Amino acid sequence: MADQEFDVLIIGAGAGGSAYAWALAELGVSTLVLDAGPTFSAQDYPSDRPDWELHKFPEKPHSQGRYSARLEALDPRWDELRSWSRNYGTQAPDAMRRFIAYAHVRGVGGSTLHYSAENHRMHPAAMQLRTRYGVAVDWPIDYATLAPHYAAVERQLNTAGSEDDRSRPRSESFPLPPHPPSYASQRLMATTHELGMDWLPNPVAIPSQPLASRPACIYCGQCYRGCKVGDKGTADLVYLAPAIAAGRCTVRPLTRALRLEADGAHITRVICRDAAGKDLAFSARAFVLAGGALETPRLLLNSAASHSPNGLANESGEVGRNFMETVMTTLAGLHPEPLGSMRGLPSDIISWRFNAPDAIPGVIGGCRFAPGTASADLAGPLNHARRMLDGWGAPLMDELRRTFGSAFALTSMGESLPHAGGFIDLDPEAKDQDGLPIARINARHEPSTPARLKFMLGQSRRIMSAFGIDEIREQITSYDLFNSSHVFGTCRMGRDAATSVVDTYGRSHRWRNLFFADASVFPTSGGGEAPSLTIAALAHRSAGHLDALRSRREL
Amino acid sequence: MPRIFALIRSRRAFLRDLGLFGLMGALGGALWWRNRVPSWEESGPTLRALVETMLPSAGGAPADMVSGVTDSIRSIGRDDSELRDVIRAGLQWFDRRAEKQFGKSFGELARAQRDNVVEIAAAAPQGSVERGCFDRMRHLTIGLALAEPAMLSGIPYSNAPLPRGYPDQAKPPSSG
Repeated sequence: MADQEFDVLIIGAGAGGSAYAWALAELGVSTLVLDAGPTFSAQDYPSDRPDWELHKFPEKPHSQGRYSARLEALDPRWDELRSWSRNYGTQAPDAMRRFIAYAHVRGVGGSTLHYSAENHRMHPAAMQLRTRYGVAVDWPIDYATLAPHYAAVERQLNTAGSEDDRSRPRSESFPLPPHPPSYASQRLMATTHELGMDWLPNPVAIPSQPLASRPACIYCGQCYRGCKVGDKGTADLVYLAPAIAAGRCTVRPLTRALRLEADGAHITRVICRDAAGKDLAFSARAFVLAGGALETPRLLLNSAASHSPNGLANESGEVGRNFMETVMTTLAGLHPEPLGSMRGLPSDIISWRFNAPDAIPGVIGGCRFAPGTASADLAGPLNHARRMLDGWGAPLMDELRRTFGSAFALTSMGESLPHAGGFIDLDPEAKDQDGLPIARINARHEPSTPARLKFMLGQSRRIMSAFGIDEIREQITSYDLFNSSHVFGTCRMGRDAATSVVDTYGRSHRWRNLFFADASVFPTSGGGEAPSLTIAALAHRSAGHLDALRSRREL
Repeated sequence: MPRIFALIRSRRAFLRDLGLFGLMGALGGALWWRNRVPSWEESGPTLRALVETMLPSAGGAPADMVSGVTDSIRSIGRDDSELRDVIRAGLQWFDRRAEKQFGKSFGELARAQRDNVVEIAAAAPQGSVERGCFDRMRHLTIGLALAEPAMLSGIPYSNAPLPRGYPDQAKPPSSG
């Protein structure tokens, strides 16, 4: 097992690791990027097949991690928050919260391969929950510090968005104008003003005009199944491809990082295993962890050694702590009029009306609302018939002919506050294919979560009713189902080494050539903002700092 | 007299008891045969009749589609024992209910009679044998039928999203 040496080695080729590689390549620094998963291409995606609805985002060998979960018993006081479907009944029939999945993609591009390309900046106040509202913690950097890095990443992503969001100050316009809202979204905007819902085009990493490097979107709505057209700003396309083309990035898929090794002062190498089972070792001057809020703490905990008996970089005991998840609701029903609701971007408009941390009455931590017909997988005839309609046989077909295109879902996502009941540890029993303990998700609702979910559901019902949908046929919430795609925390960023894992640049307080570039560093989750833009902006900032340290020979 | 007969009252009584036990065994066997859940292969005719009844299709399902979907469900059931058990037990319920209500097996019923039995299963409480079977069969028949483009001809926008996409997304729908 001979060592191969690189300047900077990045573990994880998702939003953070890929953005880090691109940012370093722009600065003239070469990287090796490892990912445990495979590569994907347009040929893998099912949206042109006649039976497309029977296929989700494709799974390939090694494209899914394995996780266990310890979830909580459900409280009968909050039964109104439970998930149900008119045709399929209750979704978590037992007294316990049900683990569906950690919805992710392991591969080159990571979960950006199946995301809807939302590009959200954090609400500035959501980064100061302790100072402003007396809950959770503050981010150690403020919005103004991150803003130039947001702008740099938006330029790279060619984000299309509207200037009308006054809650997130901008120093420059979005690179591209916003997409026109779909007909269904136009109708939603027109009918819900009385509720104070101020809808805006959702900022997305999808070109609203053809670019030299990417075609224009054709509004198929199937971002979640993988973008076959190649317009969606996935991490492999917008970050890794130019870094590779510049000759400053090597990507190695299907290479699992098993453990990090260190001497007394520095991380020295990473031990890996390839798809054939061959062990490899890579040395570098600096290491960047970007495996996400589950795999990054797992790698650190699995790297325990005599100098780090509780896990690498865990001097504070904070590795794995402060786990936060997706707090969400989705309501679905049939509109009385034809909408052609299968058309358009999955979440083409958004309302930040209740996104500020104090916007929801009686609870700190905000939320956002957006159409969710495609994300609820209700854009095709098969699921429309199965989940929105009654009956069977010829009458069912008649009803499908009459109503197809009128299914509509509304999704909200909200703040998930860090607390002691949410953490990641190593499963004491379950092991992966390499014999290493898998990450165990310990998720309990933070005390304010049910009240926030209740508001999100109530407001969603009011919006649906104003829109014209009074009969809800499906209600899905994170109260009784764990199906998170956005996970945060577990290696918190902070100024105090006693209460955090990394500093304001995502650099380990203890191991000074170890950097982090994923949502594990988020001190708080934000009020429903999609995290990928913030992950990439933090990576951009950290990469600049790493390069400065390198230039000063401080690494 | 053989030694064993010393343990019983008489040869005549022994033969009588033997006959009684045989009769009881035969009755028990018949009862077991009647109540046992038919095997997956034996359930074929009822399965086909239920597919024919439930398949979403304008103006009745074509016979080759019924055969294809029935075969697919049988194939899925061979690999999925949980699904197979739910449907097999449910098919037995459909036959019994048909016998009780109309004096015929489910497959022998007229279309309206079949719909009547399916309505009862659809309205049964969640967790019951008949509702479990109905839910699974509805899920399967819709999935298998509507994955065929021919079944959706004439419904606007029901084609696969690609390659065309929906460039008219900002306009009112042409229909549907």
